[in-house]
Amino acid sequence: MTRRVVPPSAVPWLLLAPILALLALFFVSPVAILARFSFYLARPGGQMIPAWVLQNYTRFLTDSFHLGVLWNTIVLGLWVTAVCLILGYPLAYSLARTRSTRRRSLGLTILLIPLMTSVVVRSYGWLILLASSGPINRLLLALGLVDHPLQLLFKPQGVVVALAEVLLPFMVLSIMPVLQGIDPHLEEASQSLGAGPIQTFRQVVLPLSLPGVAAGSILVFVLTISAFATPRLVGGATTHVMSIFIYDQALGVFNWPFGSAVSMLLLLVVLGLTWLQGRALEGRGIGGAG
Amino acid sequence: MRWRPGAIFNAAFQGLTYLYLLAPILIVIPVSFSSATYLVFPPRGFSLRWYANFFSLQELTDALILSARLAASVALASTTIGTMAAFALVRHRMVGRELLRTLFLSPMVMPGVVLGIGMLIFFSRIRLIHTFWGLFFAHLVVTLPYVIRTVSATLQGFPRAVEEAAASLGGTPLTVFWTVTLPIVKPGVMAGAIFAFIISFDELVISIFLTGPLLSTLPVQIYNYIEFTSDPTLAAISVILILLTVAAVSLVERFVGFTHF
Repeated sequence: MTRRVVPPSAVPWLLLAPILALLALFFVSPVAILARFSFYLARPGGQMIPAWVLQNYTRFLTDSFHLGVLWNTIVLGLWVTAVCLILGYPLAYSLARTRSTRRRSLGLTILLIPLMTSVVVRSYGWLILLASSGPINRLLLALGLVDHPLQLLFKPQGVVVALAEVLLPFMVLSIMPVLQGIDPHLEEASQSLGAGPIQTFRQVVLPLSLPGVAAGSILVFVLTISAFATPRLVGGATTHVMSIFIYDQALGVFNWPFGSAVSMLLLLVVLGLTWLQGRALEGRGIGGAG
Repeated sequence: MRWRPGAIFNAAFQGLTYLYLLAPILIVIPVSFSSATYLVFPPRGFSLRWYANFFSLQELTDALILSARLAASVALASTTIGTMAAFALVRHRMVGRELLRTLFLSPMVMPGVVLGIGMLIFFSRIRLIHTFWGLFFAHLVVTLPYVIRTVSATLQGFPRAVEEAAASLGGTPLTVFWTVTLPIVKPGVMAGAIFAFIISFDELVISIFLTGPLLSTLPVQIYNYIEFTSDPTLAAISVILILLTVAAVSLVERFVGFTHF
């Protein structure tokens, strides 16, 4: 016979004790101290004075240079989202509709490889590919599409190409399950009622897949504005986005209060959009791609 | 399949998209075997000198050893703590369960720089900056969500009747757990451990904030290296890291398959 040493209602809390202690100390505390520091008064030379001022926030949101950083971040997010949507939707459709499980499993494996590859490896690969004497420029020159090598590295265009590559899987994996949930008979019914493939797509498939499109687009946008390593390495010193700005404040000029305030702004946008992304998929029984 | 123009266009579009996904990973392979002393494309000659160079650079091999040690400890701790949490969340109905799940998964949506600067400020106060344990706890926080998701997915499809049968045949809760429950959830737990290892091993952004000149992980060293030079040594390290990733992905595929994600 077994003796109950602990009451059954305590079991889950015993299981949860380690993770709760860990997150309280090493996750909640850092974010809380960040929130507090964002109201500190910063003095030149890395000095900080405990205070409750809004100066760090107003400085970022009123000055035209800093608003430019915010604007660059949004534009980069929109470009990467657009590229992922244009490339990702057809891919998601063909993966959702293929009858060959081997093709689907091969496609999903290729999609997962960039996700599992180190960001420094991928960024280094793009540095080789996008270089002015690299394979992309050589191909363009050989095809006669350009008459002199394009400057792709250390430019926003290069950052879009490199970021869309690693975020494309998130778009495909957000749209694919929604498309799989659409009964193929609906498309057949639409076609048998006289609609062509384009009309069927526009009036049947696309509207039904919009929750997946919305969720995938928000996810890709959020991950783009959160990204640091790829914009930094592929975009170089000329790329001014929020994540790089925060890094420079923290480790370059040691203005922790200002860096904290910009972090809080970025965090608010990210959390708000993530909540919206959850709403887009609500009740459909599928999660985001992580 | 009939080869209508639409089908050809579709196949070409898909082929190019898959090539785009793999291009930056495939390109480092030929470059790593180049014998030229600078980055040139197409690569010239054939040599293993860059692989040899990697193993001769002590700051890189030290970083590789630290990363491996860190990832192994993080994977072990994260899998244990995450599996316990997943059991509590899936098996028990308690107050605030949804709130707890959101809290546990939220490190996943935090921008790396935000968590990085927060940990930099907090860890420098509690003297964890530039230490192994600082990196350990930071990586633990970011790997836990993946373990919880993977183990929860396995637990949700778990046939409870098997456990009840074992218990009714006289198994004590501990015996049932070791001989019935654990073997069934093992694939999910193993996949979670592999994910935790890979995420910790590859983690860059938070580590940049927490490492120093005397203590650095491999991704941080590579990041610093790229910033001032780009000789093919990095291609050689990249190939080694890619082989590791491929091994891990096929292990995960073997344990659980991709349908769970």
